Amino acid sequence: MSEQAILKVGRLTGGYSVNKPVLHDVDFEVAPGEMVGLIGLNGAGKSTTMKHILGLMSPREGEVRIGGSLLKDDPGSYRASLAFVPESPVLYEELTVREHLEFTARAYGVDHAVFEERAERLLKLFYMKDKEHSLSSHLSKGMKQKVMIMCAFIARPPLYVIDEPFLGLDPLGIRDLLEYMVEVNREGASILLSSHILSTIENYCNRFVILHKGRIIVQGTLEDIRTAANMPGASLEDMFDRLVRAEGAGGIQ
Amino acid sequence: MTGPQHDGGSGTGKDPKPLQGNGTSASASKQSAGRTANSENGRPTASGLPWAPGTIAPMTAEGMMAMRGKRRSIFLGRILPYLPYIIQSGLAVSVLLLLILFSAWYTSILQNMPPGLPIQWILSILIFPLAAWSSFRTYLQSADTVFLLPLETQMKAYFAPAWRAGVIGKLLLIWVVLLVAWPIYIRVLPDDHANLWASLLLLLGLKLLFAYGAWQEHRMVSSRQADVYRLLRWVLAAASVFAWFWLPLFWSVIAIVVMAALYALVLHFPPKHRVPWERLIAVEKAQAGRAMRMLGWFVDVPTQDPRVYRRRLLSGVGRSIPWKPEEAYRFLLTRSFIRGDMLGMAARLAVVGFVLLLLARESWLGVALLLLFTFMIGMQLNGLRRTHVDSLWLGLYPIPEDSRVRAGLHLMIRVLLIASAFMWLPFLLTLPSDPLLAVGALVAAWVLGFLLHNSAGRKWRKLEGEDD
Repeated sequence: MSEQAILKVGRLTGGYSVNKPVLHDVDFEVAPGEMVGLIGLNGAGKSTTMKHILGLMSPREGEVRIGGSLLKDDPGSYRASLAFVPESPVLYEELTVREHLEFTARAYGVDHAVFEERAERLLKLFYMKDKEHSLSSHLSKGMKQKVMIMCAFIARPPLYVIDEPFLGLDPLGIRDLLEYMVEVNREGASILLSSHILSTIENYCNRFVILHKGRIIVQGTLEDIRTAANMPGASLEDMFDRLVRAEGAGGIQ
Repeated sequence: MTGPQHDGGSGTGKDPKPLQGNGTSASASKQSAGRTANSENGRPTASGLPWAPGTIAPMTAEGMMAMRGKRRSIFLGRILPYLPYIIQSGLAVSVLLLLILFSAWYTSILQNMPPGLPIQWILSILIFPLAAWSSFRTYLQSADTVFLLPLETQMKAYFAPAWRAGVIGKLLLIWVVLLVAWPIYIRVLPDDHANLWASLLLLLGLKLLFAYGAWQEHRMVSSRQADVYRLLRWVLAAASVFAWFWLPLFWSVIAIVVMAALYALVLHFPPKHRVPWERLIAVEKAQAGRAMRMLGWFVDVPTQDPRVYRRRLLSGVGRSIPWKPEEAYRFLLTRSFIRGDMLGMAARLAVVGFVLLLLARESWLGVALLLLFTFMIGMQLNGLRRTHVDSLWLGLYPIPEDSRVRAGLHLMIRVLLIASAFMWLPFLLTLPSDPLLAVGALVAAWVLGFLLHNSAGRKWRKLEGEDD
């Protein structure tokens, strides 16, 4: 898998301060067309891992490669290969919803005609057509989150990094987002997704990476995790509960 | 859950103690403990609170007042470091110059009183806005709707200093204005009833009344009602002041007393919140923002909330920017510029320049003014460098690294050329009689525009290098 992995996080150790790394030896891959769930308790290191992938933080040890290259090798193609949906929306107050989409499309070099088509579809899909020309400061939290999601999907890069996308979304928004993720997945794009809604992502992700206190305690398909947890047929939520609690008590007995 | 936990890192809950009673001895000992801790580490963040760090403190009246005091000092701590720069920027000299000019003018007018000076009008018009104007710095924050809301019934102690500071400052100002104008007033109307002490007393009364009214406006549930009452406050302030300086003593006193009583009465009618949290937080945010923006006239300050104006007429600007990643940031910057403060500032300067040049277009003074205003607009546009400097997306999107500087300079020269051409328009009237002057003015302004652009380019690239 490693030759073709779109994202390769290799033995990553790092954090906010040099002496106290948050992440320890984090090592996983995301293959093309794969959806990988990054799960863990609050403070487990999910967002820190994502920040390293985005290049907002530099690894103390280890490396992050997208499409085989490091950020410093080819910043242009690294950045163009990646779209990010942050946990809390980060919008420009002086731009309208449509202008956010337009700025993103321009930045990612999306053809104008293709942009029009995608924007139309996304605005309708997320029930944002009537908010198209609203300034972002006039939107509700869920709508702002929808703008973030639409911006990522307008770019259509090979890799999406999505942090807690369901927060603040209405039920239809959650469903539409999941369907859209499946669609881009089918077209070959990869998704790294962090979420606490385990019952939802259980049915969508191909593989899972369970982080606890900055270390991967287990990773693999649902079946792999069932074997590791020694819980045949169990749900992801139950296994997560067991694995994380057991980690506190010194591992599965 | 008590208030100070979220406030500036004190009471981080590391050593939580149970809520203490309201006993004064307990608070007094805490106060001394807090002061000792403060003097030991000398950091303002740990200072000013009458409880030891790490304590969940009793929210007594004393504690509430101390918390407001601490928030005030945090705010001042953000403002004060800029003062030396403001003084250096020539403000001190200008103020001193204005004071000297004013003193000279004041002395001369006292010595040679112009006959028929409408001092009653002048004094009334000067005084009444100061009587009506009321504002309060509460330093409330959004988080207070969570942490202080449970203490709503005790918030009086928190607001008392805000109220006092709001009244006293403005009272002193209105008294100074009256005292300065008084010598002129008694020279023009030596026999008038309006005695100085009575006037000072009246202004004290009005100030208290209208400050009370303004506070009640904040508390009103309906913002439309609050608007009506604000208008009423201004109208009554004008009516009272005019009555005082125009009517005979007896009638003016009657009129003012009746108006004040009626005003105090009608203030009771509208439904009100006990503490108007949302409104006070919005007002506080606006006031803090205004203070920072005023600093921004003199020095480079981080502006937190840029004001956004819709400006629908300009919504087409930026559409024609080439559709490619190298120009993507130009699109963002152009949209930000047309909806931001900077366009307003540049436009105001351009309009003032235009009007002045209508008057001064026929001499070399006109050329000097055109250059001066072009230069001032150029100085404002230097702010384009700071636009979106901390944007997450500019770091993540695949756009070239020099996009920000390139697009900023591009926009700067365009705006400079357009603004100077607009201000130059009055020279069209001079064109037939003095073509050399007219054409020369435009050429000179454009050359200056390019010089400003080039100098900004060098400066920005150097600063970007330092930032990296």
